[in-house]
Amino acid sequence: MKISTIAAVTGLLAASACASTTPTPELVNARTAYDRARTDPTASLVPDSVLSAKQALDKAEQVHEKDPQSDAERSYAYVAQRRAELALALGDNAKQKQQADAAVAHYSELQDKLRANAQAQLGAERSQVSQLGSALVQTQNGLAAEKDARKAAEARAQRAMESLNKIAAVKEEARGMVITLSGQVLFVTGKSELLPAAQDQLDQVAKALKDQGEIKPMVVEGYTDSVGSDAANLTLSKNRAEAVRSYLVSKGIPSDKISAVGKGKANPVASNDTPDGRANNRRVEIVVSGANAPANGSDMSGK
Amino acid sequence: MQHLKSFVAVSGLVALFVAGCGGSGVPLDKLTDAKATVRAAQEAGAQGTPQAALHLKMANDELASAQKALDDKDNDRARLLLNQAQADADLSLALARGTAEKQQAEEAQAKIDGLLKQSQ
Repeated sequence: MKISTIAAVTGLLAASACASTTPTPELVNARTAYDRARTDPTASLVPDSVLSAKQALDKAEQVHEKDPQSDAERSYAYVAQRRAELALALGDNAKQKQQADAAVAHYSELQDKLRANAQAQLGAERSQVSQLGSALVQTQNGLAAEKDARKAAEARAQRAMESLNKIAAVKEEARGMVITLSGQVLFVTGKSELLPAAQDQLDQVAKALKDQGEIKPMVVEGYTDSVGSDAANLTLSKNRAEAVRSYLVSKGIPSDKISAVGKGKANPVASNDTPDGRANNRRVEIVVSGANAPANGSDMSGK
Repeated sequence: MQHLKSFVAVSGLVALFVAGCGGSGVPLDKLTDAKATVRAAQEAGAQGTPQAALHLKMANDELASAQKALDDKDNDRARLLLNQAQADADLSLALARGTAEKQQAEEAQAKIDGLLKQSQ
Protein backbone atom coordinates (compact mmCIF):
# COMPACT_ATOMS: atom_id res chain seq x y z
CA MET A 1 0.00 0.00 0.00
CA LYS A 2 2.67 2.41 0.97
CA ILE A 3 4.94 1.27 -1.83
CA SER A 4 2.18 1.55 -4.35
CA THR A 5 1.47 5.06 -3.11
CA ILE A 6 5.13 6.02 -3.51
CA ALA A 7 5.19 4.48 -6.94
CA ALA A 8 2.10 6.36 -7.94
CA VAL A 9 3.51 9.64 -6.68
CA THR A 10 6.81 8.99 -8.41
CA GLY A 11 4.96 8.13 -11.59
CA LEU A 12 2.98 11.36 -11.38
CA LEU A 13 6.14 13.38 -10.80
CA ALA A 14 7.86 11.69 -13.71
CA ALA A 15 4.82 12.34 -15.90
CA SER A 16 4.71 15.94 -14.90
CA ALA A 17 8.48 16.35 -15.46
CA CYS A 18 8.07 14.81 -18.87
CA ALA A 19 5.06 17.00 -19.60
CA SER A 20 7.01 20.11 -18.69
CA THR A 21 9.39 19.49 -21.58
CA THR A 22 6.54 18.95 -24.03
CA PRO A 23 4.96 22.26 -24.86
CA THR A 24 1.44 22.54 -26.21
CA PRO A 25 1.09 23.16 -29.93
CA GLU A 26 -0.11 26.65 -29.00
CA LEU A 27 3.17 27.34 -27.22
CA VAL A 28 5.14 26.02 -30.17
CA ASN A 29 3.21 28.33 -32.46
CA ALA A 30 3.76 31.23 -30.08
CA ARG A 31 7.53 30.64 -30.04
CA THR A 32 7.66 30.46 -33.82
CA ALA A 33 5.55 33.61 -34.16
CA TYR A 34 7.73 35.50 -31.68
CA ASP A 35 10.90 34.44 -33.51
CA ARG A 36 9.45 35.91 -36.69
CA ALA A 37 8.50 39.15 -34.95
CA ARG A 38 11.94 39.39 -33.33
CA THR A 39 13.79 39.04 -36.62
CA ASP A 40 11.38 40.86 -38.96
CA PRO A 41 12.87 44.13 -40.22
CA THR A 42 9.51 45.93 -40.34
CA ALA A 43 8.61 44.81 -36.81
CA SER A 44 11.79 46.56 -35.68
CA LEU A 45 9.90 49.78 -36.48
CA VAL A 46 7.63 49.01 -33.48
CA PRO A 47 10.03 47.84 -30.69
CA ASP A 48 7.35 48.36 -27.99
CA SER A 49 5.07 45.85 -29.67
CA VAL A 50 7.90 43.32 -30.04
CA LEU A 51 8.66 43.77 -26.35
CA SER A 52 5.05 43.17 -25.32
CA ALA A 53 5.03 40.05 -27.54
CA LYS A 54 8.10 38.86 -25.65
CA GLN A 55 6.43 39.54 -22.31
CA ALA A 56 3.35 37.58 -23.42
CA LEU A 57 5.56 34.67 -24.48
CA ASP A 58 7.49 34.83 -21.18
CA LYS A 59 4.18 34.64 -19.34
CA ALA A 60 3.14 31.60 -21.40
CA GLU A 61 6.50 29.96 -20.71
CA GLN A 62 6.05 30.57 -16.96
CA VAL A 63 2.61 29.01 -17.03
CA HIS A 64 4.07 26.16 -19.04
CA GLU A 65 6.73 25.58 -16.32
CA LYS A 66 4.22 25.77 -13.53
CA ASP A 67 1.22 24.11 -15.09
CA PRO A 68 2.19 22.26 -18.25
CA GLN A 69 -0.36 21.12 -20.82
CA SER A 70 -2.98 23.17 -19.03
CA ASP A 71 -5.75 25.27 -20.55
CA ALA A 72 -3.99 28.23 -19.04
CA GLU A 73 -0.80 27.44 -20.95
CA ARG A 74 -2.78 27.08 -24.13
CA SER A 75 -4.57 30.32 -23.52
CA TYR A 76 -1.47 32.31 -22.64
CA ALA A 77 0.40 30.80 -25.58
CA TYR A 78 -2.50 31.72 -27.85
CA VAL A 79 -2.34 35.27 -26.60
CA ALA A 80 1.45 35.31 -27.04
CA GLN A 81 1.07 34.17 -30.64
CA ARG A 82 -1.45 36.95 -31.30
CA ARG A 83 0.87 39.50 -29.69
CA ALA A 84 3.69 38.42 -32.00
CA GLU A 85 1.34 38.62 -34.98
CA LEU A 86 0.23 42.03 -33.74
CA ALA A 87 3.84 43.23 -33.67
CA LEU A 88 4.25 42.06 -37.27
CA ALA A 89 1.00 43.74 -38.32
CA LEU A 90 1.89 47.01 -36.58
CA GLY A 91 5.36 46.91 -38.12
CA ASP A 92 3.75 46.49 -41.51
CA ASN A 93 1.42 49.39 -40.75
CA ALA A 94 4.35 51.59 -39.74
CA LYS A 95 6.09 50.77 -42.99
CA GLN A 96 2.93 51.52 -44.97
CA LYS A 97 2.61 54.81 -43.16
CA GLN A 98 6.21 55.70 -43.94
CA GLN A 99 5.59 54.96 -47.59
CA ALA A 100 2.33 56.92 -47.58
CA ASP A 101 4.03 59.89 -45.92
CA ALA A 102 6.89 59.72 -48.40
CA ALA A 103 4.41 59.54 -51.27
CA VAL A 104 2.46 62.52 -49.95
CA ALA A 105 5.68 64.50 -49.50
CA HIS A 106 6.80 63.52 -52.98
CA TYR A 107 3.39 64.50 -54.30
CA SER A 108 3.45 67.98 -52.80
CA GLU A 109 7.07 68.44 -53.88
CA LEU A 110 6.12 67.46 -57.40
CA GLN A 111 3.12 69.73 -57.29
CA ASP A 112 5.29 72.66 -56.18
CA LYS A 113 7.74 71.95 -58.96
CA LEU A 114 5.03 71.76 -61.60
CA ARG A 115 3.44 74.91 -60.26
CA ALA A 116 6.79 76.70 -60.33
CA ASN A 117 7.35 75.54 -63.89
CA ALA A 118 3.91 76.68 -64.94
CA GLN A 119 4.46 80.04 -63.28
CA ALA A 120 7.85 80.48 -64.92
CA GLN A 121 6.30 79.68 -68.26
CA LEU A 122 3.45 82.04 -67.61
CA GLY A 123 5.93 84.72 -66.56
CA ALA A 124 7.94 84.22 -69.74
CA GLU A 125 4.80 84.44 -71.82
CA ARG A 126 3.67 87.49 -69.95
CA SER A 127 6.97 89.27 -70.46
CA GLN A 128 6.85 88.33 -74.12
CA VAL A 129 3.38 89.78 -74.36
CA SER A 130 4.45 92.90 -72.54
CA GLN A 131 7.48 93.22 -74.81
CA LEU A 132 5.25 92.93 -77.84
CA GLY A 133 2.90 95.39 -76.20
CA SER A 134 5.63 97.94 -75.53
CA ALA A 135 6.99 97.46 -79.04
CA LEU A 136 3.50 98.15 -80.32
CA VAL A 137 3.21 101.22 -78.13
CA GLN A 138 6.58 102.42 -79.40
CA THR A 139 5.50 101.92 -82.98
CA GLN A 140 2.27 103.71 -82.27
CA ASN A 141 4.13 106.49 -80.52
CA GLY A 142 6.52 106.68 -83.43
CA LEU A 143 3.62 106.87 -85.86
CA ALA A 144 1.90 109.43 -83.71
CA ALA A 145 5.10 111.47 -83.43
CA GLU A 146 5.58 111.27 -87.18
CA LYS A 147 1.99 112.29 -87.71
CA ASP A 148 2.38 115.13 -85.23
CA ALA A 149 5.58 116.23 -86.93
CA ARG A 150 3.89 116.15 -90.33
CA LYS A 151 0.91 118.01 -88.97
CA ALA A 152 3.19 120.58 -87.38
CA ALA A 153 5.10 120.97 -90.65
CA GLU A 154 1.86 121.36 -92.54
CA ALA A 155 0.58 123.83 -90.02
CA ARG A 156 3.86 125.76 -90.18
CA ALA A 157 3.70 125.79 -93.97
CA GLN A 158 0.10 126.88 -93.80
CA ARG A 159 0.98 129.66 -91.39
CA ALA A 160 3.94 130.63 -93.53
CA MET A 161 1.63 130.83 -96.51
CA GLU A 162 -0.87 132.89 -94.59
CA SER A 163 1.73 135.31 -93.33
CA LEU A 164 3.11 135.57 -96.84
CA ASN A 165 -0.35 136.35 -98.11
CA LYS A 166 -0.58 139.20 -95.63
CA ILE A 167 2.54 140.95 -96.84
CA ALA A 168 2.63 140.13 -100.54
CA ALA A 169 0.53 138.99 -103.43
CA VAL A 170 1.08 135.29 -103.90
CA LYS A 171 0.04 133.58 -107.08
CA GLU A 172 0.35 130.08 -108.35
CA GLU A 173 1.41 130.07 -111.96
CA ALA A 174 2.78 127.58 -114.41
CA ARG A 175 6.35 128.65 -113.64
CA GLY A 176 5.80 128.18 -109.90
CA MET A 177 4.66 130.19 -106.95
CA VAL A 178 5.03 133.88 -107.60
CA ILE A 179 5.45 136.30 -104.71
CA THR A 180 5.01 139.82 -105.92
CA LEU A 181 6.44 142.71 -103.89
CA SER A 182 5.58 146.29 -104.77
CA GLY A 183 8.58 148.35 -105.90
CA GLN A 184 7.16 151.36 -104.11
CA VAL A 185 7.43 149.68 -100.78
CA LEU A 186 10.93 148.36 -101.44
CA PHE A 187 12.85 151.20 -103.07
CA VAL A 188 13.10 154.96 -103.44
CA THR A 189 12.33 155.92 -107.04
CA GLY A 190 15.31 155.25 -109.32
CA LYS A 191 17.41 153.65 -106.57
CA SER A 192 18.21 150.06 -105.76
CA GLU A 193 18.87 150.37 -102.01
CA LEU A 194 16.23 148.66 -99.83
CA LEU A 195 14.10 150.88 -97.64
CA PRO A 196 13.99 149.98 -93.93
CA ALA A 197 10.28 149.09 -94.27
CA ALA A 198 11.23 146.79 -97.15
CA GLN A 199 13.65 144.96 -94.88
CA ASP A 200 10.84 144.13 -92.44
CA GLN A 201 8.75 142.83 -95.29
CA LEU A 202 11.63 140.75 -96.69
CA ASP A 203 12.36 139.38 -93.23
CA GLN A 204 8.88 137.95 -93.19
CA VAL A 205 9.25 136.65 -96.74
CA ALA A 206 12.51 134.91 -95.82
CA LYS A 207 10.91 133.42 -92.75
CA ALA A 208 7.90 132.22 -94.72
CA LEU A 209 10.13 130.67 -97.38
CA LYS A 210 12.20 128.85 -94.79
CA ASP A 211 9.08 127.68 -92.98
CA GLN A 212 7.85 125.96 -96.13
CA GLY A 213 10.13 123.14 -95.20
CA GLU A 214 12.46 122.17 -98.00
CA ILE A 215 13.77 125.28 -99.69
CA LYS A 216 13.23 125.08 -103.41
CA PRO A 217 15.21 126.88 -106.11
CA MET A 218 13.93 130.41 -106.66
CA VAL A 219 14.54 133.35 -108.92
CA VAL A 220 14.22 136.99 -107.93
CA GLU A 221 12.98 138.95 -110.96
CA GLY A 222 13.13 142.75 -111.06
CA TYR A 223 10.62 144.72 -113.19
CA THR A 224 10.17 148.40 -114.05
CA ASP A 225 7.49 150.44 -115.73
CA SER A 226 7.98 151.62 -119.27
CA VAL A 227 9.23 155.07 -118.29
CA GLY A 228 12.90 155.67 -119.19
CA SER A 229 15.35 153.84 -121.44
CA ASP A 230 15.28 150.11 -121.74
CA ALA A 231 18.93 149.81 -120.80
CA ALA A 232 18.48 151.90 -117.67
CA ASN A 233 15.38 149.94 -116.77
CA LEU A 234 17.16 146.62 -117.26
CA THR A 235 20.09 147.72 -115.09
CA LEU A 236 17.82 149.12 -112.40
CA SER A 237 15.65 146.03 -112.38
CA LYS A 238 18.74 143.79 -112.25
CA ASN A 239 20.24 145.79 -109.34
CA ARG A 240 17.00 145.79 -107.43
CA ALA A 241 16.62 142.00 -107.93
CA GLU A 242 20.22 141.57 -106.71
CA ALA A 243 19.52 143.73 -103.67
CA VAL A 244 16.53 141.59 -102.74
CA ARG A 245 18.50 138.39 -103.38
CA SER A 246 21.44 139.53 -101.22
CA TYR A 247 19.10 140.46 -98.44
CA LEU A 248 17.29 137.13 -98.54
CA VAL A 249 20.62 135.27 -98.57
CA SER A 250 21.67 137.32 -95.51
CA LYS A 251 18.45 136.10 -93.88
CA GLY A 252 19.27 132.44 -94.35
CA ILE A 253 18.11 131.51 -97.85
CA PRO A 254 20.99 129.39 -99.27
CA SER A 255 22.76 131.37 -101.99
CA ASP A 256 22.85 128.42 -104.35
CA LYS A 257 19.07 128.20 -104.26
CA ILE A 258 18.39 131.76 -105.22
CA SER A 259 19.34 133.78 -108.33
CA ALA A 260 18.46 137.27 -109.50
CA VAL A 261 17.55 138.61 -112.96
CA GLY A 262 16.54 142.04 -114.28
CA LYS A 263 13.60 142.02 -116.67
CA GLY A 264 13.22 145.76 -117.27
CA LYS A 265 9.79 146.79 -118.52
CA ALA A 266 8.91 143.27 -119.68
CA ASN A 267 5.79 141.39 -118.66
CA PRO A 268 3.77 144.30 -117.36
CA VAL A 269 1.02 143.26 -114.98
CA ALA A 270 -0.93 146.48 -115.55
CA SER A 271 -1.25 149.33 -118.05
CA ASN A 272 1.70 151.70 -118.17
CA ASP A 273 -0.67 154.51 -119.19
CA THR A 274 -1.91 155.24 -115.67
CA PRO A 275 0.08 156.05 -112.54
CA ASP A 276 -1.58 153.16 -110.68
CA GLY A 277 -0.77 150.74 -113.48
CA ARG A 278 2.84 151.91 -113.63
CA ALA A 279 3.11 151.56 -109.85
CA ASN A 280 1.94 147.94 -110.13
CA ASN A 281 4.45 147.25 -112.88
CA ARG A 282 7.33 148.49 -110.72
CA ARG A 283 7.80 145.35 -108.75
CA VAL A 284 9.99 142.47 -107.69
CA GLU A 285 8.74 138.93 -108.16
CA ILE A 286 10.15 135.93 -106.35
CA VAL A 287 9.41 132.85 -108.42
CA VAL A 288 9.69 129.66 -106.42
CA SER A 289 9.87 126.76 -108.83
CA GLY A 290 7.71 123.75 -108.20
CA ALA A 291 6.55 125.14 -104.90
CA ASN A 292 3.84 123.05 -103.41
CA ALA A 293 1.00 125.45 -103.33
CA PRO A 294 -2.28 124.40 -101.74
CA ALA A 295 -4.32 122.20 -104.03
CA ASN A 296 -7.08 124.75 -104.63
CA GLY A 297 -4.54 127.40 -105.40
CA SER A 298 -5.44 128.93 -108.72
CA ASP A 299 -5.28 132.54 -107.65
CA MET A 300 -3.82 132.98 -104.23
CA SER A 301 -3.49 136.71 -104.40
CA GLY A 302 -4.92 138.21 -101.27
CA LYS A 303 -3.95 141.66 -100.20
CA MET B 1 -22.72 15.00 9.30
CA GLN B 2 -22.87 18.36 10.92
CA HIS B 3 -19.08 18.46 10.86
CA LEU B 4 -18.97 17.55 7.23
CA LYS B 5 -21.48 20.27 6.36
CA SER B 6 -19.56 22.90 8.18
CA PHE B 7 -16.32 21.67 6.57
CA VAL B 8 -17.84 22.08 3.11
CA ALA B 9 -19.11 25.53 4.01
CA VAL B 10 -15.72 26.60 5.29
CA SER B 11 -14.03 25.12 2.25
CA GLY B 12 -16.39 27.05 0.00
CA LEU B 13 -15.64 30.29 1.82
CA VAL B 14 -11.90 29.63 1.64
CA ALA B 15 -12.21 28.84 -2.06
CA LEU B 16 -14.06 32.10 -2.65
CA PHE B 17 -11.50 33.96 -0.60
CA VAL B 18 -8.60 32.41 -2.46
CA ALA B 19 -10.29 33.13 -5.77
CA GLY B 20 -10.67 36.76 -4.74
CA CYS B 21 -7.07 37.04 -3.64
CA GLY B 22 -5.72 35.44 -6.79
CA GLY B 23 -7.46 38.05 -8.94
CA SER B 24 -10.18 35.57 -9.66
CA GLY B 25 -13.08 37.99 -9.25
CA VAL B 26 -15.46 38.72 -12.09
CA PRO B 27 -13.16 40.22 -14.81
CA LEU B 28 -15.52 43.03 -15.77
CA ASP B 29 -12.69 45.37 -16.83
CA LYS B 30 -11.34 42.81 -19.26
CA LEU B 31 -14.83 42.26 -20.65
CA THR B 32 -15.40 45.97 -21.18
CA ASP B 33 -11.97 46.48 -22.77
CA ALA B 34 -12.32 43.53 -25.14
CA LYS B 35 -15.78 44.65 -26.23
CA ALA B 36 -14.52 48.18 -26.84
CA THR B 37 -11.65 46.93 -28.96
CA VAL B 38 -14.00 44.72 -30.97
CA ARG B 39 -16.15 47.78 -31.67
CA ALA B 40 -13.10 49.78 -32.68
CA ALA B 41 -12.02 47.02 -35.08
CA GLN B 42 -15.49 46.98 -36.64
CA GLU B 43 -15.43 50.75 -37.03
CA ALA B 44 -11.98 50.55 -38.64
CA GLY B 45 -13.51 48.34 -41.33
CA ALA B 46 -12.33 44.94 -40.12
CA GLN B 47 -15.21 43.28 -41.99
CA GLY B 48 -13.71 44.47 -45.28
CA THR B 49 -10.38 42.72 -44.87
CA PRO B 50 -10.28 38.89 -44.77
CA GLN B 51 -7.56 38.58 -42.10
CA ALA B 52 -9.07 41.32 -39.93
CA ALA B 53 -12.52 39.80 -40.34
CA LEU B 54 -11.18 36.38 -39.31
CA HIS B 55 -9.69 37.71 -36.06
CA LEU B 56 -12.79 39.79 -35.44
CA LYS B 57 -14.87 36.64 -35.63
CA MET B 58 -12.43 34.83 -33.29
CA ALA B 59 -12.64 37.70 -30.81
CA ASN B 60 -16.42 37.63 -30.94
CA ASP B 61 -16.50 33.85 -30.43
CA GLU B 62 -14.11 34.17 -27.50
CA LEU B 63 -16.22 36.96 -26.05
CA ALA B 64 -19.28 34.72 -26.29
CA SER B 65 -17.45 31.83 -24.63
CA ALA B 66 -16.19 34.15 -21.92
CA GLN B 67 -19.71 35.38 -21.32
CA LYS B 68 -20.84 31.77 -20.99
CA ALA B 69 -18.02 31.06 -18.52
CA LEU B 70 -19.06 34.10 -16.50
CA ASP B 71 -22.60 32.83 -16.47
CA ASP B 72 -21.22 29.51 -15.17
CA LYS B 73 -19.30 31.47 -12.51
CA ASP B 74 -16.04 30.16 -14.01
CA ASN B 75 -14.13 33.40 -13.69
CA ASP B 76 -10.70 31.90 -14.37
CA ARG B 77 -11.82 30.48 -17.68
CA ALA B 78 -13.57 33.72 -18.50
CA ARG B 79 -10.37 35.64 -17.75
CA LEU B 80 -8.31 33.46 -20.11
CA LEU B 81 -10.92 33.75 -22.87
CA LEU B 82 -11.11 37.49 -22.43
CA ASN B 83 -7.30 37.69 -22.78
CA GLN B 84 -7.65 35.83 -26.06
CA ALA B 85 -10.57 37.98 -27.19
CA GLN B 86 -8.51 41.09 -26.44
CA ALA B 87 -5.52 39.73 -28.37
CA ASP B 88 -7.66 38.85 -31.41
CA ALA B 89 -9.50 42.17 -31.28
CA ASP B 90 -6.19 44.08 -31.11
CA LEU B 91 -4.86 42.14 -34.08
CA SER B 92 -8.09 42.67 -36.04
CA LEU B 93 -7.93 46.41 -35.38
CA ALA B 94 -4.28 46.62 -36.47
CA LEU B 95 -4.97 44.68 -39.66
CA ALA B 96 -8.02 46.85 -40.48
CA ARG B 97 -5.99 50.04 -39.95
CA GLY B 98 -3.18 48.60 -42.05
CA THR B 99 -5.56 48.16 -44.94
CA ALA B 100 -6.68 51.77 -44.64
CA GLU B 101 -3.08 52.98 -44.56
CA LYS B 102 -2.21 50.86 -47.55
CA GLN B 103 -5.12 52.41 -49.43
CA GLN B 104 -3.90 55.88 -48.54
CA ALA B 105 -0.40 55.05 -49.75
CA GLU B 106 -1.82 53.71 -52.98
CA GLU B 107 -3.99 56.79 -53.44
CA ALA B 108 -0.99 59.06 -52.90
CA GLN B 109 1.03 57.08 -55.42
CA ALA B 110 -1.86 57.24 -57.90
CA LYS B 111 -1.97 61.02 -57.49
CA ILE B 112 1.76 61.20 -58.16
CA ASP B 113 1.37 59.07 -61.27
CA GLY B 114 -1.47 61.33 -62.38
CA LEU B 115 0.67 64.44 -61.91
CA LEU B 116 3.59 62.90 -63.76
CA LYS B 117 1.35 61.93 -66.66
CA GLN B 118 -0.18 65.40 -66.69
CA SER B 119 3.21 67.10 -66.72
CA GLN B 120 4.48 65.12 -69.70
